[in-house]
Parts: sequence; structure tokens; C-alpha cells
Amino acid sequence: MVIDDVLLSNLGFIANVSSAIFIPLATLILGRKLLKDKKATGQYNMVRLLIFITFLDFSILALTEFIIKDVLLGAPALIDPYNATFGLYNILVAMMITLGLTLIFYINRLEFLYYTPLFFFTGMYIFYLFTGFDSWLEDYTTIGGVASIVFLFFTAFRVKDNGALGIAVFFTLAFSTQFIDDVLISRIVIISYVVFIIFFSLGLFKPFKQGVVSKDE
Amino acid sequence: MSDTFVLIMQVIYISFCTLSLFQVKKKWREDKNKMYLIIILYIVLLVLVSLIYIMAIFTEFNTSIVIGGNLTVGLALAFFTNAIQVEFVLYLRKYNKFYTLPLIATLYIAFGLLLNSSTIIFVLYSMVVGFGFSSVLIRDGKKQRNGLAMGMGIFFLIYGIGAMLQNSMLLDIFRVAGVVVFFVSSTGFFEKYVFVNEEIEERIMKTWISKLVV
Repeated sequence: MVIDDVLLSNLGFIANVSSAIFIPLATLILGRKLLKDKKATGQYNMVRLLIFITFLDFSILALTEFIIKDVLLGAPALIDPYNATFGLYNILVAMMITLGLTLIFYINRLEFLYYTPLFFFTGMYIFYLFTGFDSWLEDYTTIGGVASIVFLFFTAFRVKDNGALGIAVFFTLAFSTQFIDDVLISRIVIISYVVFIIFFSLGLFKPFKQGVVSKDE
Repeated sequence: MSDTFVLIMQVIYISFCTLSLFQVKKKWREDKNKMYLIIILYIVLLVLVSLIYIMAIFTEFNTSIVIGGNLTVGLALAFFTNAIQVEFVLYLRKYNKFYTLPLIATLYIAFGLLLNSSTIIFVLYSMVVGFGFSSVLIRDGKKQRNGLAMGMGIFFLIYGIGAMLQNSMLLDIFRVAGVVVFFVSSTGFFEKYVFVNEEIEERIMKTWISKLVV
């Protein structure tokens, strides 16, 4: 029993430390690619930009989780960031889902829906500030999360896009931790998505050999 | 007396709305522009709202009937007209990415009324829609020499001022005044008589300059 606790505790520490190191590192690599692309073409690639912001968001989440759980510095300005419905943790998770949905609409060229998730989530937060009503956040996170993963897979296979498939796999692993009750499995999943993200950001994840298929093809 | 006045004003209002509807329909047949369809939908909605008001005079039904919380039938109708007003401006300015914004804003404001008694947010939203978007329409209509858009802008503005006065009699008068302007604009009056013809203006100016030089 004691060994189990120690093992789980150490595994948890490794999971949080590796998340705090490698996810920001992957974000930096993606950021560098984004800037390189911008330099070459003169403008930001919208898909790269959205992926970068999503990872930036995830980096903040990983760092915050590490600082709060392991370094125990706490965050005095944020009251109850973990348990409050609109605490920092839930806001960042919901933001990630919002950006995931935006990415799907962008890849599928549904122009009138580009900003809809952002409007919806911002509206929800403003609504919460005015009325204190927060019951929709959990439903939004669950439904939006599942929908974004399903559509990311669908889009990835439709346009044969390695990027979209990589994000879909990563989000599936990351999102599944919300529902896994078993601590051991949860930590293994965290480590596995950290490993996966390193492969993905280094450009080694290429299940589709050819490039992105255009709509005309 | 008051009911008779409201009835007369509503009948005049519906008549002008119907006349405008025929004018816009004629324009739509000519060039099949989607903008005209949105205007037709808006006019139909205005007529429906007016019919509900007339119905309220003769029956026990009234617009203060509560749907839930503090959301009444009257407010719900106002939400619809506001949303279509905003959609129209977004369509005119080709802001395709913002099409869902008025719908989401309406959803939260309406839901807020179900939970909260304060109508401040609704009033602020209506003011932005009434005054902000009407000035955008007037400016764009003038710039693009589109009389119908400018007429709609003036209609929204007059309607907005009327609603702000919080007097039902004045609101009826302002609404009728607004719809008359709207009808006039749908006949092409602004294009013919209000917008200065640039070619003619240039020709006149050249004459002045040549006179000065000579």
C-alpha cells in the first residue's frame, strides 16, 4: 500500500514535471515554425497560429498545474483556481476546446462559424460575471471537447492532414484524463501524451505520406 | 380614444410596410440580390409585430405576457427585430465571420432576463443596435449611393429615438414617420433627388474653375 502511494506520487511528479518542461518546449518549437513561415510568406498561417495559441494555452495550464501542485507557490491573485467553476484551470481547458472548435471551422472553411466558439465562450464568461450563472461551463467543456475531437478526426481523415490527426490524437489523450478515475492509468496517459507531443512537434508524426488534399482533388 | 389612435397608427404603419414590401420585391426580381430577401424578411417581421399589437387591442392577449422570469412577449419580439437589424448591417458590410454574434448576444441577453430582473443590458444592447447600426447604415448608404440602405438607417434611427422617449403614443408617431421614410427610400427617391450626381457636380465645378482661369 505504502509502495503504491510512493509510486503513484512519484509518477504524478514525473507527469507534472515532464508536462511543465516538454509542453512549453513543444510550444516554442511550434512558435519558431510559425515565425519562420511568417518570414517566408509575409503573413501568419492561420492554422499554424491557432495550433500555436492552443499549445500556448496548454503550456500555461501545464506550468500552472506544476507550480500549484508541486512547487506549492500558490497563486494569491486567483481565488481557488482549481475548484471554482470559472477558476483558472477550467477557463484554460474551456479556452483550449474553444480554439479546437475554431480550428475545425477554419479547416473546413465554415467562415460564418469561425468566431462562434469564441463569442459563445466569451459570452458565457461575461454572463457569469454579471449573473454568477456558471452551470453551462461543464456541459460546454464536455460537449465541445467531444465534438472537437470527433470533428478533428473526421477532418484529418477527410483531408488527409497529419497536423489535424496529430492534434486529434493529442486532444483525445489529454481529454481522456478528465474521465479516467484510476490514478495510475491517468498518469500513464499524461506521460504518453507528453511523449506524443514531442514526436508531433518534431514533425515525426506522418501517418499520411502525401500532403494535404485540396477540396478539388 | 387611445385604442382607436393606436389602431389607426398601426394600420398606417402596416400599409406603408406593405407598400415598401412590394417595392423591395420588385427590386429583388430585377437583380436577385440576397440583401433584398433579408429586407423582405425584416418587413414581414415588422408587420407581424404590428398585427400582434393590433390583436392586443381586441383580445386579452398582450405583449406583457411573461414567457419566463422577466422575459415578456414584447421583449422577445424586440430581440428578433434587433437581431435582424444587426444581421442586415453585417451582411451589407460583408462581415461574414460575425453572422452568429447577434444570435449569441440575443441568447445570453434573453437568458439573462429569465434569471434577472434588470433590463439594463437589454436597453444598452438596443441603444447600440438602434443608434450605432443606424449611423453605420446611413454612412454606408450615402457612400455607396444606396438609397434603400440609407432609408433603413433613418428608419432605425427614428424608431430608436421613438423607443427611447418611453411614451407609447410618441413611439407610434415616430414609427409611422420612420416607415414613411423607408417607403420613400424604397421607391428610389434618394438616388434620384438626394444623392448628388458626381458627373454633373464635376461638370459644374470645371465650369467654375474655367471661369476663374479665364
